Amino acid sequence: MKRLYELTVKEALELLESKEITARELVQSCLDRIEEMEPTIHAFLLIIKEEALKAADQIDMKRTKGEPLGKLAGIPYSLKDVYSTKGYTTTAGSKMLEGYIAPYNATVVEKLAKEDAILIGKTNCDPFGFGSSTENSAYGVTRNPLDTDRVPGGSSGGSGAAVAYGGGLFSIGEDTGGSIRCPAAFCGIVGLKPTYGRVSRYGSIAYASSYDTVGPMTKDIYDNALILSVIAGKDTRDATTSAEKVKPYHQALDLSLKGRKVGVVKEYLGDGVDEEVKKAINQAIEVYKSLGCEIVEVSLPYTEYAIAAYYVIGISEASSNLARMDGIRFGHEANVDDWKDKIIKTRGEGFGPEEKRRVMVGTYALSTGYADKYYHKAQQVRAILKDDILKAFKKVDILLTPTMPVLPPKIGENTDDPLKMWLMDAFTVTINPVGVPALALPAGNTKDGLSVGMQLIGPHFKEDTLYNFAYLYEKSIKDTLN
Amino acid sequence: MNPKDKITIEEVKKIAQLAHINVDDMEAEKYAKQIGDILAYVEKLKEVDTEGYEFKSQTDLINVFREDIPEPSLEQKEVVKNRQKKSKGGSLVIKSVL
Repeated sequence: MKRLYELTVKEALELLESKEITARELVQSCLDRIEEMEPTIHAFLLIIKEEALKAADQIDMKRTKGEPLGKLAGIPYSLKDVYSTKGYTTTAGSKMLEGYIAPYNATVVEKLAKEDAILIGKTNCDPFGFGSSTENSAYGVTRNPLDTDRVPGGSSGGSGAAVAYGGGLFSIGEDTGGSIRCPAAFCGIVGLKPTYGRVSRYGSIAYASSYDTVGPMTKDIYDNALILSVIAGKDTRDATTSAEKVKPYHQALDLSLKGRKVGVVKEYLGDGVDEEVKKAINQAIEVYKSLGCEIVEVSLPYTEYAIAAYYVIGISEASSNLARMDGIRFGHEANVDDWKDKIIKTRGEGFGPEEKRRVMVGTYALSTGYADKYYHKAQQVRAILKDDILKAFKKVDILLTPTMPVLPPKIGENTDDPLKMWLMDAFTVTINPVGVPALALPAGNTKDGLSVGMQLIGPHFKEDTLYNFAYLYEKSIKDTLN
Repeated sequence: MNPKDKITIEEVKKIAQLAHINVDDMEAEKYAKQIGDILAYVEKLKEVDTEGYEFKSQTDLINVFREDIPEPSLEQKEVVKNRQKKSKGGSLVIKSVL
């Protein structure tokens, strides 16, 4: 019998509904697990105990009385610390926002509360999402539960580690350039970067507004689809959200894949991809063949330029978004009298090295004389990237790639070489500029017990197709994992 | 900037000034190399023939409008409660601007 913190959302809901377990027992199990693991892993920046147990008791009482309950009643979850939560700190992993308490809740928090999910903590991340290892966090590194000498990925590394070790049954991450998918791959869990505009970002601290997406991080595909069906949808407070119908994503997972086409991107299996990663992807290709899929080789020739375009646009937007971090209305404030010096010193003290680097390069890329050369050129390349990928979807249903070209690096391995760290994101960052959805899931394990992630990419708003392909893969290899 | 030229410490300081970030000499030296590497890397965008391409939007949504209907919003007290230094009346302390 599994311990309660090991349950999936689906399993826990069944046990709660049949009254075999209570929400209090479930929440307590996760809190105990957090207490056991945190001294080693450090996935959480805030742990919510009393209020979570109180919420659990209320749900248990309602259930006993037979009162109506939400779809996720009693399920404990964590939030990346970039989501505004009324009454709890939101730091974005930066010293700049140490102690900041938002006066309102993010839409995703409201939606989960409406379905009676229970928030048990907020997770560590690279500051403002700037990073792929969680090593840039102002509050210390998070360790990978699969191998504590290694990074959990980032920027939603705390969320990845928490889900992997059972600190809550799911987490909400944020993906601007792989920040959900990279930790999902490194921690051996499932993470979705939804279509741009599928999930409201109201209350999410912005990194790059034309890339940012909100998505679930879960133990399996069913749970991921279920959570997306709860958090997706139009929000008048985020004008970029789409009116496209929200589907019951978890209810159409088992459709036959016979005759469907899987595109394998040749540029994504070349030099620089770890042999163990290649092996796992080739195994995935065989699984799809056995499910009746046709494998089609696809070329995305502009991939080489995608990382450069991604970064130029991303950090340009970041430099503009982070202009509000001036110490006037919230956040760190330098102890200086002159107002202009105060802003400059506030930002010098409050931002860590990665924030400074990105804001400075972004400022440069937008400055007079350089905006055409960098920012506008990158936007044009972005148009080509979108064309490139939409052309591919005329030939295939989904694209299959590794999530990360490498296995999780050792802690400290890349910290002195930011460019090397940026290049590690080649397969994930290329998706955000074009806005399509991408799902990261475990492809298989290495001989040393690490997980290799694979990424399924689909056309805009085809999350249901991704889940269908992913669910049948998961089912096929279930026995070979663990 | 020519990618072969290293970005100078003075240039880093100028960018830092534009970005309103205080950067000391030691930091500036480190960033000069790192920012130089990054700019040299993104130079490769130059190789792409982008003639005739303009990026419009990620999905089909382009401009989104709504009626401008006033709704209740946060209380002033709530909005400024994270301000670290407050005057007695609760308003922000701004030293003379002009």
